[in-house]
Amino acid sequence: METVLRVVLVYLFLMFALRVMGKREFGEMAPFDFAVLLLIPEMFSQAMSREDFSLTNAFVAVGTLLTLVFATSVLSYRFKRVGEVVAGVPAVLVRHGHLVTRNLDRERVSPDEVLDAMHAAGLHRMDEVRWAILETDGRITIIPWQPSGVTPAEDSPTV
Amino acid sequence: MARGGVDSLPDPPGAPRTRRHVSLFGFQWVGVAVLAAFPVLALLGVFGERWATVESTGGPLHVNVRYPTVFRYKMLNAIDLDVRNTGTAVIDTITVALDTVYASRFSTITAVPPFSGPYEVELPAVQPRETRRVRIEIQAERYWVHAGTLTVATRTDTVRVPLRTTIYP
Repeated sequence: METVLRVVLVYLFLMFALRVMGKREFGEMAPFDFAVLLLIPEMFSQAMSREDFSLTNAFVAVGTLLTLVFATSVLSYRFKRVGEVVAGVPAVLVRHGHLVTRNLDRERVSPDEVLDAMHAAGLHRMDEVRWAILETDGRITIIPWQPSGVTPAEDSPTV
Repeated sequence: MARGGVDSLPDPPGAPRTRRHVSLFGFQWVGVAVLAAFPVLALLGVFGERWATVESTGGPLHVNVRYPTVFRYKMLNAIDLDVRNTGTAVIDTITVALDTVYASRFSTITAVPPFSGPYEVELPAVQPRETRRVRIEIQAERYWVHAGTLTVATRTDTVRVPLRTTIYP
């Protein structure tokens, strides 16, 4: 049935498109991002169902979609490289108090956003940050230097 | 900062490496199999539309009917009927009638040429060796299996074509 192929194509296209958009786009959605996200299913629903309103078609479409989601999840878990391709890898935005501008540019994260995340973590100076990491879900994780009075110079990083 | 700039500074440690095996609960295997069965069966054509062609002869009438045997709720489809006068005389009127019980299982039933009575189409003055086509468009409405008869009749001869259509929900 053509619905299976249509769902597979839409799934692969969306996986590709959302991956290309980058982590930040859907990590913290602005109103415009939210509107875009709402438009996507609106545009694809007709293409997938072709005005076939039968329950059978809905079962086939949802069965196909969830099977693809499950297969992606299994492959991502079993093969690390697949997981990296599907979900991406975390990007280090701050290393030992220094902004990694190349990663900021690639991920389109401004220093202000890093600062916001630092404030949320209770930090206000860049040299208090050991690492700032843009996670694959778009969140920024701040890892401070050890709070037990250890200064940056004394604490050697582990790799 | 180290001599090589910010790039030479270490990244945070990665996750420890482990051997990864996919393991599911028993009910998950069953659930995944059920979910995967839908696209597999669909690709094998189980839920797809299917048609049958039936030919029948009675007196000077030769009837060829192509009709849907399987289709899905609210889908439009058509029963195509070719009726041929194989005799040597003109047939005044051929009446094509769709079983009303069978017809009631569908909605939006239209015919070309149009119905002249309840699910009846009349074909006037059919010449020898002439073939006329009747197309009855139907929209699936009621689920499951519906059986009926398409009757093609002249004043003296009648041809009955059994129809059997399954409508998936």
